[in-house]
Amino acid sequence: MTTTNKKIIFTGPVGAGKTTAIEAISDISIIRTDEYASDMTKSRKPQTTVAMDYGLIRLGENERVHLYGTPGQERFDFMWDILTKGGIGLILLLDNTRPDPYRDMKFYTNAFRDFIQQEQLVVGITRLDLQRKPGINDYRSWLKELSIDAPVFEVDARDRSDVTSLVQALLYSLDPGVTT
Amino acid sequence: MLNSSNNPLKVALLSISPHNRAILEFFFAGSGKSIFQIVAIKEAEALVVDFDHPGARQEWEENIRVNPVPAIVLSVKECDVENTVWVPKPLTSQALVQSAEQIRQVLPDTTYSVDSAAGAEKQRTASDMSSLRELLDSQQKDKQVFGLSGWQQRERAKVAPSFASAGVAYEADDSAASVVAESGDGIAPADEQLIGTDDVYVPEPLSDNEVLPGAGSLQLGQVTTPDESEQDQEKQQQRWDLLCGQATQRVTAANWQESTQLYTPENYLLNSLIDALNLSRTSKQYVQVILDSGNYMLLMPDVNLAYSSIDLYSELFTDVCGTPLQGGKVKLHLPSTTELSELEEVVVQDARQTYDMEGLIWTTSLLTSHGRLSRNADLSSPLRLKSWPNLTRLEQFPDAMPIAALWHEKAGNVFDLSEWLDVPQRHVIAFFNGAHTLGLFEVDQGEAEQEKQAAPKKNRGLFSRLLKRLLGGGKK
Repeated sequence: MTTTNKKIIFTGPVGAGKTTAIEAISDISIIRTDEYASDMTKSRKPQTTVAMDYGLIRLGENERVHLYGTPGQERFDFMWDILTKGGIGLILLLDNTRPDPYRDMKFYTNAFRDFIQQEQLVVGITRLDLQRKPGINDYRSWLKELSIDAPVFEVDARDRSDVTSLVQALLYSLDPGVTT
Repeated sequence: MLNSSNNPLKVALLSISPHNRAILEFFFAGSGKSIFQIVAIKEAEALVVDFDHPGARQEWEENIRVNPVPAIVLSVKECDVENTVWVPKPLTSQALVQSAEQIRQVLPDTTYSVDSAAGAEKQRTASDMSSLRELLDSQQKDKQVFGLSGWQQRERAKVAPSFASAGVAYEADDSAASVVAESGDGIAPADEQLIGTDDVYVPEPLSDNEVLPGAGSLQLGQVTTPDESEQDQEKQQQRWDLLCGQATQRVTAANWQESTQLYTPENYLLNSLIDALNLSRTSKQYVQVILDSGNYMLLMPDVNLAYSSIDLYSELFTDVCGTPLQGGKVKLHLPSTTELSELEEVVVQDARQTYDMEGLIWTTSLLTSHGRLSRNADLSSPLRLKSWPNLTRLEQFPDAMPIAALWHEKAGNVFDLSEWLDVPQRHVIAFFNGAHTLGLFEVDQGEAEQEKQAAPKKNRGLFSRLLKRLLGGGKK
């Protein structure tokens, strides 16, 4: 019996909603980055590491889709590339209330540039209800400027259907012929 | 100290923050397992030091006085200190692997002191390391400047097969953390050894205790469709019928102009709304679209919102959109400052009827066209969707996602798309009408001809099962 494992990676700055988004679709209670600071690891095996948020979708007995959320605050220290191996796509969440969302977009698309070239990116803009500018059209233009083709959606990371839409867009972008 | 490539380099972490330690441990437990092993300082062949950490340099100096081993220095600033290898931040696994090789070069070589049995093992592992180096070299060669046109063509087939796209399966293991690569001849290719085997690394524990309460008993429809009663389904279908029409017969490029399923946008409210949208975007002012009944829409370009005095989901709005208007029944108006403050009050008090501006245009376009093609549409050239519509804030109907994905990837017309995807043509026409009104299409500049045959899609079965799961129809 073999198990197939695939990854979807959620990235973006602190507070963009990565943890919440993973939580919205994960089958398990997610393991959070900030739990490292607690005594969680002490009670577990020595090799337990929580360098990122982790969730899981189980598809029957033999297929698993692992959901990883990068720690948003680790801008320079984080080894972005170690997460992407085995990944089928990247979901970039950007917080529209942050001072410079364009800079955020540029940073994260650059950090994952090799992966994006090979796989697929989907962008979710959070907190657009609190801050209407920049708008979706601005993000579309910025992506064009960066020569990146990716769907951009307004999302509420707490809303399962919004997060599901991001994953749907990711899967259909990889293969529009997928049927349900 | 040993310098033998058949053993991982024994390293001790010094002055590393808890987060960075976790990241490094993640790497060392996964893809870097054969390269690094974390040990106590006394046993270490080398140190890994984060020079950006407060007091790191001092701590490192104190340590090397007692135990003078080389160090891998992590820092944003270049570090040129004897007996160290600098790894610049942001860290990459490739840079770390290379630093291990550099450290090995400065360690005394004891490779040949091992016995013959170990020698065979060494030979195998040395071969692994050579593959590793080849892989690293190939990764270097494969690197392209970000944003080359090839990227847009998505010629994934040309890219070295990735771990994911190769559809590698893994042997089942009770421990979710140890996922083992599987290959035909028993030895996984170098890239899988490096990046595949343990990269799907799962933080422990993953016991059933951690499954969300009730998650195991999720049934069809419970996930994304809370209202699954027959009545709701019926309502949903009725709405889709309004947005997409009910035509089942397919028209073709040859006969669509003779079809009865045509409409003239200029005769409807939609036309005035598009004029208003253009005016508001160019003038950057609020524009009011006033109907002779006194109802109105207000477009607010600075916040990308629109207010409608008629509920978008009401029968009245459907009627207004679907009824041809006589000249003079709609006027565009630029509100004065006084009027604006009054309108602002109305909008605030009736926020329920404030919509995403694209959402208002999209719904109006769909209700107007009702699955029909515009009589004036130019369908002779293949079109490409230049940007996806903001589908999370637009009214959805079946097949909108795959239509968007394919039309973004491949240029074609409405007839091609429905054929390629084998979906009802009315869904494609509805999508075309909505996205075209929003200005999201561009005429293809001959790229369609040059597009190569799409590579066979991998993971389709898994994607399909995942979609079913997410949409509420899949089993766990």
